Amino acid sequence: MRRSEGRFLTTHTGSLIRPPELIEFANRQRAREPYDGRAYEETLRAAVADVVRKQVDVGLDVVNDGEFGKSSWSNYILERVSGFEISQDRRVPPVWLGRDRERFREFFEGEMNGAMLRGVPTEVCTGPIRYQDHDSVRRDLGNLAAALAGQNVDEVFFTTVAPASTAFNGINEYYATEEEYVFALAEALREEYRAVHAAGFLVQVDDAVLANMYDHLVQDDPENYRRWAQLRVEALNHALEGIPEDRVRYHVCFGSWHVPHVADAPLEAIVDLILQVKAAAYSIEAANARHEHEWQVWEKTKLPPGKILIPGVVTHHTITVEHPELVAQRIERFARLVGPENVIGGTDCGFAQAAMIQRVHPSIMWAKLAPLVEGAQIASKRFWK
Amino acid sequence: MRRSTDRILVSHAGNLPRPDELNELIHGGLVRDLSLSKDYQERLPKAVRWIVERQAEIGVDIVNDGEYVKAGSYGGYMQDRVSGFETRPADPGKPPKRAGTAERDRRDFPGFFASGLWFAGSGGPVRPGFATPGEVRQLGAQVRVCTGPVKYTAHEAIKADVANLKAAIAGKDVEGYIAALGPLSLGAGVANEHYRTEDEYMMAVAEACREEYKAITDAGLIVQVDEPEFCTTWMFYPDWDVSQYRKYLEWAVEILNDSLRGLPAELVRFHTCWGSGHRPHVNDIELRHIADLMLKINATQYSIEAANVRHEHEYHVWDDVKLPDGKMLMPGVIAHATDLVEHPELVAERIVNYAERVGRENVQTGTDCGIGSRVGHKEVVWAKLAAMVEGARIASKRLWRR
Repeated sequence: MRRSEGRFLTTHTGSLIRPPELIEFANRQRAREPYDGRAYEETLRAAVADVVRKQVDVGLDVVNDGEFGKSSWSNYILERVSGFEISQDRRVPPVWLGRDRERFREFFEGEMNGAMLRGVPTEVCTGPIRYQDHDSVRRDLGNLAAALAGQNVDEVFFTTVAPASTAFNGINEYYATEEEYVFALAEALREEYRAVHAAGFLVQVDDAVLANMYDHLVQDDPENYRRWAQLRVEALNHALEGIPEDRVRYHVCFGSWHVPHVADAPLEAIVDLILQVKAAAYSIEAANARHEHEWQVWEKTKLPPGKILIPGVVTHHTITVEHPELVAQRIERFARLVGPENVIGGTDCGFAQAAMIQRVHPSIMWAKLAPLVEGAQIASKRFWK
Repeated sequence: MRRSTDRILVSHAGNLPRPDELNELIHGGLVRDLSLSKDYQERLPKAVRWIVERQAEIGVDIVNDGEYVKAGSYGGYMQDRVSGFETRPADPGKPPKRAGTAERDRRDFPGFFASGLWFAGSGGPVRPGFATPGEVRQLGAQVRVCTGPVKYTAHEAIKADVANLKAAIAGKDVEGYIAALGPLSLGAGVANEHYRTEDEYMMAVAEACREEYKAITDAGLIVQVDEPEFCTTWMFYPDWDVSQYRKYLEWAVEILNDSLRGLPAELVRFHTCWGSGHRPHVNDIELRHIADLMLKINATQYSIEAANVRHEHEYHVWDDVKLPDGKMLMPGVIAHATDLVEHPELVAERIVNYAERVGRENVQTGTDCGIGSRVGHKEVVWAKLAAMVEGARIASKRLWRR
């Protein structure tokens, strides 16, 4: 994995806003309406080529395919593995929102419809979990490889999902124990991780739910969360076996929703779990009002040798565009604590967690990636003169 | 004006959520005219008592009336309080006096502005960081024109505002302030057809504003002069460079000081901001270009944005610019630009950044701008104010080593 040597490198979390022509297909796919499959494949390939070019043009060092081939950051995997049935009848409350659901009851009522607050559809595991859609990931990897041709890019990442974040409203009815279930998930996901690695890209494993379950699970007993999370981190490491740590990035965030986030896990409480993951780089939110102060965590927690931090230095949580000086200040704070060679500038989270989601206007997204690059340049000058 | 002598004092920039019984009368702020109704006015004293109590409960030290009388429009209320202006359909053949809101950003983000998103948070369905376009508010093609002598006509109204706030703070360990529109923000965008010169016109505007300020300070309350145009005029003249802008601001300082003539500076807080609209703000004038001019305004305290991603880094301006003795800063430590509730630790960090540069006794906490109408829900406002109080407590502990 490339490190920041001589200057701070930049990257982002993964999902970028799809162009309108791709969103149109996504709408049809979601509504299960017929569409021209070949036209979709062509549109997708062209869109990936375009989004790679744009990332290079803006000056990002480590780029991806914008996650354009996926319907969403997590649930896409349910289209690619066997064993799950979506149940509209058996609903569970969105516990991953934690106690903010009560603390900001009226806000959430307005934000999400009331029905969703009371219950979201579940993914019921009724059979063996197997990875069975190699074609989709092969297509996405192929599109990305093709998009890179002729581009001056040294490093590329590709996002996947972690066991903890897979089927996060899931109900296991097939496996005898929770452990068996989670490890079965891990073995299925491994196929995708390995495909990405074999294609020569960095494997980024996305795991928002690891942090999101904190507030709900600590309420009765803090150990409940530790047990829940520990099992899933072990399963993830099991899934990553055979892939050199140096080729893996691990992304944890606190949920990209524009909500108050008072119930978010403190980074301090979960950082040891994060560092257990056999990855070389950790991508963590640090550019929003709820987590910006957490650079201080790295005063007490030592980043193990050889590891890299990718703090968010621009955020999807506000329409206002970060000033490059602010980006530089943020990068420098981390660099002073963990060493400049161990910091890569990143984004808090993606900008389009599903094909239809746009966390900011597309023009604002691109306008935020520019100060990310410029801020890294300013900070680089100060650190490397 | 109280000072942070043994802990960091807490205030905010103005607008706060209205209680339901007021809100329903003006349809959530959409029909501002209805705030002039007898019903609305009669409900004000009780509502002001309630919001003052709410602020005191949360731990705000310098409180206000929530700007309820302004019904969510920090500037529009003044149109009912001065004579000499009229609104008429714009003459399409005549160029406007100056460019519109956020013009420099508009040129860079045509798609964003066309989407209507920039009205996000103005009581509409769109809120910070959301990208689903809401209903675009249509600005009618109307202009305001000065056609007669500008006079302040609302002595009774401001007397009532003062009385409401004084009654509400009586017996409480708080200080009271009332926000009042600045002369630039009232008059600079209006075409003058009555006075011989722009100078003469703006002096008259300043004089009218002064009447309102005086009514507030005469009562021993702090007047907060709301003057976003000190920063946002940069957008109205998109082709100016910094030196042209500074020249304008030098004139603006004279107008402002004229509006404050003879009033006790000890009771004057100056508030400026870069416009509270949820927009990119990439072309905002940098504080370092104008901070020295702002300090020439005869106020004791300066309330400025410092809690959003475009201006958060600007505490470093105070490495180079000296805050004159006896003056205070009120940096925004919580913002309306995001629905996320600031972590108290972040608030504390921001306060300490300022205290280290200008002295702890010269810092009070503020909000970037009025947050009442700009975030997703009043629940978020209360939570943000609570985070500010908690952050001030943490910072006080650090700054006074207790």
